[in-house]
Amino acid sequence: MLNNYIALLPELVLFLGLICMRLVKLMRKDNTPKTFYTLSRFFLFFGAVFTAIFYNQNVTGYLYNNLFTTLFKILIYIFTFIWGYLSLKRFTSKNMPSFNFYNAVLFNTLCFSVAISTNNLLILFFGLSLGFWTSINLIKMEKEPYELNGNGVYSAFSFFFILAFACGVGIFYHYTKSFDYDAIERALAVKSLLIWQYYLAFSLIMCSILYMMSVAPFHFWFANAVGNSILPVAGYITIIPIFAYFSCMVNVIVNAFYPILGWFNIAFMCFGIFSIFIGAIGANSESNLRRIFAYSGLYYIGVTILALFPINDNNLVSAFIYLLVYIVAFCGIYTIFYGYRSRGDYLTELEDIKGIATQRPFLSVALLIFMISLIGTPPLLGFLGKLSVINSMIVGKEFVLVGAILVAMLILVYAYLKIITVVYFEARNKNFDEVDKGVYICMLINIILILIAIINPKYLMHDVEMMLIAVF
Amino acid sequence: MIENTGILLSIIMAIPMLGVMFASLAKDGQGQTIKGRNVLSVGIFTVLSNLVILWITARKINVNGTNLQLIEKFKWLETPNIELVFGIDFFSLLLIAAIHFAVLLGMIGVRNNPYRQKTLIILSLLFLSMITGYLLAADIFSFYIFFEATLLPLFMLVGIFGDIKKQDILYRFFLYNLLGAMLLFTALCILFDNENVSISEISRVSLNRHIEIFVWGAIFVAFLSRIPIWPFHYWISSVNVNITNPLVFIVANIMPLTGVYGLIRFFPLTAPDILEPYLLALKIISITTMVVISLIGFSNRDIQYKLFSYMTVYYILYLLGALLPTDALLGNIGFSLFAYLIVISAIEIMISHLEKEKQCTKVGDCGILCNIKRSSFVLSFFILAAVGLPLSSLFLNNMLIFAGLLSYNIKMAAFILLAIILSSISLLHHLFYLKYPQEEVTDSKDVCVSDISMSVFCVLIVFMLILIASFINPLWFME
Repeated sequence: MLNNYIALLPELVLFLGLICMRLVKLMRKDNTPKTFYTLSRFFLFFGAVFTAIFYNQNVTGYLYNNLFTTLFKILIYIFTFIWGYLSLKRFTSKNMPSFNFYNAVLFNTLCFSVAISTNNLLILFFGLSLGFWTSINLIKMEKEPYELNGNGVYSAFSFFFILAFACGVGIFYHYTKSFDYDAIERALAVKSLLIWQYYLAFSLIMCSILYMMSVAPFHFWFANAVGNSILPVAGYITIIPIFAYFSCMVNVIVNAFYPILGWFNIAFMCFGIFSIFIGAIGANSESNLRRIFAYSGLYYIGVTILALFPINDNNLVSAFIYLLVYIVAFCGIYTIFYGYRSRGDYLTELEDIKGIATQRPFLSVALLIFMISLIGTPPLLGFLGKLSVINSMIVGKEFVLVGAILVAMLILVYAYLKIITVVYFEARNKNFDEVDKGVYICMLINIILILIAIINPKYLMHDVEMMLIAVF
Repeated sequence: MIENTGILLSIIMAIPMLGVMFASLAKDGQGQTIKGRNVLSVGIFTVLSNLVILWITARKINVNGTNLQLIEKFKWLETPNIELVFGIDFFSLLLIAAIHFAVLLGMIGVRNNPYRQKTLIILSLLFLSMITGYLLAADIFSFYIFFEATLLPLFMLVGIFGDIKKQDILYRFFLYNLLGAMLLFTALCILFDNENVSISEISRVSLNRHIEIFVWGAIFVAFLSRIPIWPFHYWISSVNVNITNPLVFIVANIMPLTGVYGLIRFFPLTAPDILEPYLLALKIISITTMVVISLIGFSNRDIQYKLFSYMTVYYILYLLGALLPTDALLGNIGFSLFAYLIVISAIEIMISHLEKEKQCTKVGDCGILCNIKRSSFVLSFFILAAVGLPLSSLFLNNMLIFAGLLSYNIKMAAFILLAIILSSISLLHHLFYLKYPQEEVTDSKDVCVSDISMSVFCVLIVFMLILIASFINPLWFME
């Protein structure tokens, strides 16, 4: 009996963490920003340890763990851990309460952990929707009502897409009498029984997940959300949830919707192409650093989608490598944003960081390395992502897609050149604050990862492949 | 790592990277007379160390061997199966040595310039490491990796030290080069998808007609984007003529070498039939560019532009020599490029010195060399060597390259000769102008133009001796 539920231990630990944080908030008066960080760190650590230990244990009928799910869950834990540590710098320096942030982070990790492991459409819906809704609400953190211009619209859209997700799940249940992935796949496998309602339900579910991933044309909320929220929230919603959405999408498509996927490959390709061009052009139209990178993130998500479909083991590995490389570089860039401060304020506009290279050379070199990695220039890690995606497309004779990706990349590079110009070639017009040592340490680890991983990418390209194909 | 016969080539690539590391850790020399001397010393020491390793390497290779030697292989990826291979022959050895000499001269040229010297030396060493890797690359992926990797340090150097007012030019410079690199990458992935071949075997890969046109077109555009040939000449010239820092100018003008070298390595002895009409068009465009740029250099009063025009003409000459259906001229191109890179670097540091003196003393160009004998001697020597007098390996080898072109197509050769003569005359004319005594200056004490220091003069004398010693064959000391 106990064996059947022991795999729930990571989720249980996270749940205990949530209760514990709530109790501490209620019963302890002299809480500091560090209090909740310490608590969340503790529970995240044990959550990650138990996830690794029970990497292949299942909870009867509902949660299935394998190397694929464990890989994504561990990545979420690692990046949440790092981002939680960096976010503390901001809460401490501003002396702002951190309970809401760390509580939401722990809750999101719990939701994503359940959603990644599940093979039940209803649990997937609750896991992703609750996680996404929590992320959307984080945007309001430390904001006065007048600062939340347009946020109501995005909340309404988010609610609408969550509703669409629910409708899709409902339709499948109505016709298959089950939420189970296997049952749905069996129903879809009989071609003579395929009805238009299945296609509609699949579209509703996929559009909702693509909305959460902010893939174009569902991207409209993302740049504003990232641009207007505080740095810990902006970084969190950029870096971490994408792993959950990506893995859930792959898992549900491969294990439930695979029989009707062929019909939608062309749609995914269109979404991907939309995303790369809107991302590249959007990045050029912005002067706010976070919005520039939000749009450039759209480009990378677009390439990931293009690389993923049609789903097979080679494409999955390429898409994952590309996604990971992009997230690692973005994590580095958001770490640098913690160092961009003047008179205690975090700088967000291009205008604000003119000539910062003369006063903060290491931050600037790091930014340059991350951007060059994002461009895919060798010998940095980004080249590996570019190589895996382009090579996989050329093997598939998709030359038009290769052309589209490269043209969009050239447009995107123009936006990066503007940043390099401002940072390096323009005269400094203000003094920048000292940078916390923690920021330097995180940045250095990230740079070493980018520089070293390329020398021996065997672990990325070969060993990860072994883990990813566990989904099939 | 498998099948390695040694680690010399890895050391040659690694030493500049070590230099980058030491230079970034070096204190910037506060309290010394010149800020940044420590980092400059690190730079010079790094280049000299690598020259010693190159000397050792030169003793180990067979000069007459046509294949790459001292092969080093590194297993990089299993899926896709990519092995990075490095090798060296006398041609790449000559170019690597020449580039090291050129960068060394550039470093000597900036010894009194404290402006962001740490950044300058770090980026120059980074460029040196990348271009050395490029010249040692023996497989298509390492070739591409270093081809693209040379771009970033150059962009940063030009952006920080280039005095370029129009950022659009800088952006275009980067984007066109990146476009070239991306095209090359796509072409190489297509070739790789068919068969994992070495560079020399690319022409035997069988592709369908459209793909073959794309692959060769992409390879040509990639390499030509680095050479100042129409339509790529505008931003390259705009970038170059604005650079006043001699080291940056030298590094920026090594960049076209990557294009010429790429075509020499990739272009097969027997061009695929499909390329014939395009090759003819390329040759016509190249020669037209040569003539037009030499005319502009001839009519322009700015010595920086004259030097750029001279360099462009010679790079295109080497390119045309490389496109001939014979590899008999490869040795001559290598010997000539060796002297050429040293000569233009020496001229550039002398011009930079004169420009600085002009700004300090407010004197004009005319007769500026009259009272500075060391500078006058050095500049005269290098300009005379540049125009083809028998002072370096440029003399004999350029003559042979030209003879090769003449035997291939006499009409084209006539235009090439015209361009060479025009660019040479423009340099000689400027030298004459610099040495022509002004009538109104009667007392030499009135003009306080400083000469180059005795130490720099000695270094330049050493380079003169190297050039004279390499009159026929820079590798004369080898068996």
